[in-house]
Amino acid sequence: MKRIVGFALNYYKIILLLAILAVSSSVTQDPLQNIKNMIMIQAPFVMIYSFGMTLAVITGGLDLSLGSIAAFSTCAAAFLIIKDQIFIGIAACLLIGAGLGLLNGLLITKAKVNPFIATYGMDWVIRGAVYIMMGGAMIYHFSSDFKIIADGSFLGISNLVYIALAILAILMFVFQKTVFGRNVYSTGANIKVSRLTGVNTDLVIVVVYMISGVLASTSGLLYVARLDCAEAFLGKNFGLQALAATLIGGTSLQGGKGGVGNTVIGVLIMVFLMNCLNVLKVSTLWQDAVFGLVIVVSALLEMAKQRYANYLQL
Amino acid sequence: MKSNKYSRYREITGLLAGVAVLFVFMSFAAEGFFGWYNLHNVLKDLLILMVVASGMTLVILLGKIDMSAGSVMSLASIVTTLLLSYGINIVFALLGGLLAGAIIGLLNGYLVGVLNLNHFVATFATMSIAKGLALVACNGDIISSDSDVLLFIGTGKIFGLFFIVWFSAILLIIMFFLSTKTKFGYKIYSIGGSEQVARLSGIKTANVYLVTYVIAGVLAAVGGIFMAGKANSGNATIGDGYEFSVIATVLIGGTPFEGGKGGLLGTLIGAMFLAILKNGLSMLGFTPAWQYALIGLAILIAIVGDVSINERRKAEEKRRVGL
Repeated sequence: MKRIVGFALNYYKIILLLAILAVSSSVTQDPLQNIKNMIMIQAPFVMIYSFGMTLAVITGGLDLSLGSIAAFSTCAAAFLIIKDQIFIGIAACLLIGAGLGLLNGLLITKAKVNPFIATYGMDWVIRGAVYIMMGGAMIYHFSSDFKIIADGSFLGISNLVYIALAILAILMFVFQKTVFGRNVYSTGANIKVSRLTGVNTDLVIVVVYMISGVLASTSGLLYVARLDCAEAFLGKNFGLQALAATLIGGTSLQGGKGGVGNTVIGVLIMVFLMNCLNVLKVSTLWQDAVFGLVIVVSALLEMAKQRYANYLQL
Repeated sequence: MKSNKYSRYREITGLLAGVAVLFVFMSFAAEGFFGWYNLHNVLKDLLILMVVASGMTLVILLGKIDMSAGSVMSLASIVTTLLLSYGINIVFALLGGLLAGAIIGLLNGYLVGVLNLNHFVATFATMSIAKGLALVACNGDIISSDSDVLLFIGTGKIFGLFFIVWFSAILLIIMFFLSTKTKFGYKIYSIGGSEQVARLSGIKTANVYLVTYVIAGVLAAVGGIFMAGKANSGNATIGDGYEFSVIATVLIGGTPFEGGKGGLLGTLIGAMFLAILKNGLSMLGFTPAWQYALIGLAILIAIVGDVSINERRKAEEKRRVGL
């Protein structure tokens, strides 16, 4: 019994993933096509902004403003991209993402606002700014040079996958192998000790939120390229979904643990789960409730794992 | 202790002065702001905000937070109108709405107080659960009601004042009494001051968390029913973002996140501030999008200000103790 529970707690992610896949595959006509579709097209978007959330969670905070950062930066950039200033537009989009992330970081480190409240508040303010900027309008019909970023494929694999994998590789390298990455982990694990050992924790946190902002605007840009439309409502669910994916992936809220690698599995679980509900013909209105439940369940699993770690000899 | 009371008194008068300045400014700047018809409506909005915020004040006094308040409002409005549409008696429909709030509150209390989950994340999760349930229950539609009683709750008047005003006044008096004169109120303050000390001195902290979150949930549900009454319909987006205004109300009123300090009187003044600001901005002719951004900005500034004042106070205390 001990062994079974221990095994289940250790490998719950894989078990969950397989169980969801089994259910959805048993219902769909063409399971392989379905899985390919999820991995090639749906997962990369979610992955990119969930990485941002994961990094913020590692520092012991979180970033709920992902969705509105994506909306604001892409809507602003769309004004340029529609005039065929593609590279300037993309650069502007990423810069705005970094700038808004910088604001988040400063609110958290300099004004010492709780990360949850700071980013949740920023979410409302930025979203309001997007509404003002767009005034209810949409920008659409971009040139194919821009749309190819998300629509194109190479060797039969969607560009989205390459972009997501490239970002994953860079983040994994930076956060596992560089001094900065280790500083991020130590800041999350114990901010006081890190500061005493000479880590500039404020700088670390600010940079992490900037990276998170850039990742949010990157995925926003890919969405716009894919949907061929920039609108103020983009990314309403980003924060919630990213938090669910990060936590179910096993990155701990206490900070200093987990990583973007875990989040890949977390994102797959979330994407497969949403797809599973879709093929089971569950109304999409259930989405919010499901995200909430996943967050609660993964927080509980994390806690159970910690509490019984010794007993189960994990 | 004396100096504490004195500084609290000064804080309250300072807040009141701020509200007075805003009130005078809006009276001159915004046409149609100063007049019984409009002010009566401001009073109504203020009290709806205050009812929800008084529950939130108790939670923040504990050093916790309740992100689910806005969604609970939506859920309660949907449950009440949905029950009405099934032809169920208004009394049971209202009780159903309140019960929905109590259940979400109980869930919050259990996750936070008993299972010790991070309170931000736990209540953020229940927020999306409540919102999701509301959406599923109404299938994304607005549920209109033809109940005269619900309409009376939202818009009816007794002796020239809205029913909401009377009802909220009674509710608030009870809440004032509960938080300042009862054992339960003292327990909340002592847990907020130091949970460990409170537990060691024999307070069953889990029970206090449970009861407080249930109270907060029920009060949010009351706010949701008021909103449903105003429109005589239920809507799953009625409370979207309302929790943000509510938290800001509490913080502006001088109850900091760390808990154990502040109280309902400050929250009442915070509610005045936000209600006047909201109404004034729309009277000044700002479009909803601008109101959305400006109020968000004002709230964020208030929060940043609150945190920095507390940081300074803590530093001052440390200096005095000689650390």
